[in-house]
Amino acid sequence: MNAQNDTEAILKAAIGSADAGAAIARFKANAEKEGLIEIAYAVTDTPFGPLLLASTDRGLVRTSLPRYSQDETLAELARQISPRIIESPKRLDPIRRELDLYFEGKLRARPSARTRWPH
Amino acid sequence: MPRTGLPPFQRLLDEHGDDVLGFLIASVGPSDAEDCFQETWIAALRTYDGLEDERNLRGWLLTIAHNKAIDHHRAASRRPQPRSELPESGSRDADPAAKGRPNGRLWGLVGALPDKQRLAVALRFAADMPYRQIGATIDCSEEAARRNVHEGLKTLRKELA
Repeated sequence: MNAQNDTEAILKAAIGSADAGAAIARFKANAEKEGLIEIAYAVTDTPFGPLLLASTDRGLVRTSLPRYSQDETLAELARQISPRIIESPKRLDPIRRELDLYFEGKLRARPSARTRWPH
Repeated sequence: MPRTGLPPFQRLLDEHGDDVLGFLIASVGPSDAEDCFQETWIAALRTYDGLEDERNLRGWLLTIAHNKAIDHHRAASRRPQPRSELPESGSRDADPAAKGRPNGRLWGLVGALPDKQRLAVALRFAADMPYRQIGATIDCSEEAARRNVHEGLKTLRKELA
């Protein structure tokens, strides 16, 4: 009986230590390369609080301010556009940089004048 | 037409990433689990928005992972084995790269189990899958799934003792 429990415990411990974090990061890079991510999103800090940015390969499709539920916003995008939605900040980097500059007062024009905002 | 109630794919990664990796480590060994993991998730993402049923996404993912594990074993058994003596038991050679790793001996033993036993044990212990669902995934009855887990554990127990 004991030997049985030991074997199961050894198995569980060996499997349970699996941490997919690094593998998931590589998967996201692969998926982006193969053009499989329909919507990439990122959450960025602003003076108003965390702001959700979501983008297709044609540009920004949605922003969602802190008082809206991010889960709700993403579920809506899944219904309206595609459920192939992955958190992938890289695609949003240019927009995040512009927002940062804008909030630091270093960007005179509103970011919307320079970035493709929702149609 | 935009689809129904499928959650954003990110949620599948968050909720089932570790389970899928655990299952693959148990079924193909730690050194090949990463490749199978990538193949599994790329295949899942490719077909995701055509999926009809949003229930049991975990079972769907593990079925894809299971198929990738089978493909992997077929490919591995076609590769010539660089060794002189034959393994004493099991349908194929244990994962030689696993030997120097933590739990290397354990994965070597698991890798040497016959396919159905190995996959049944992996689904049971990596994914906590009920026997009925294990049967559906590896294509046998609930009773046979239970027996495969039992036999697999018995062998491991004997070897580890």
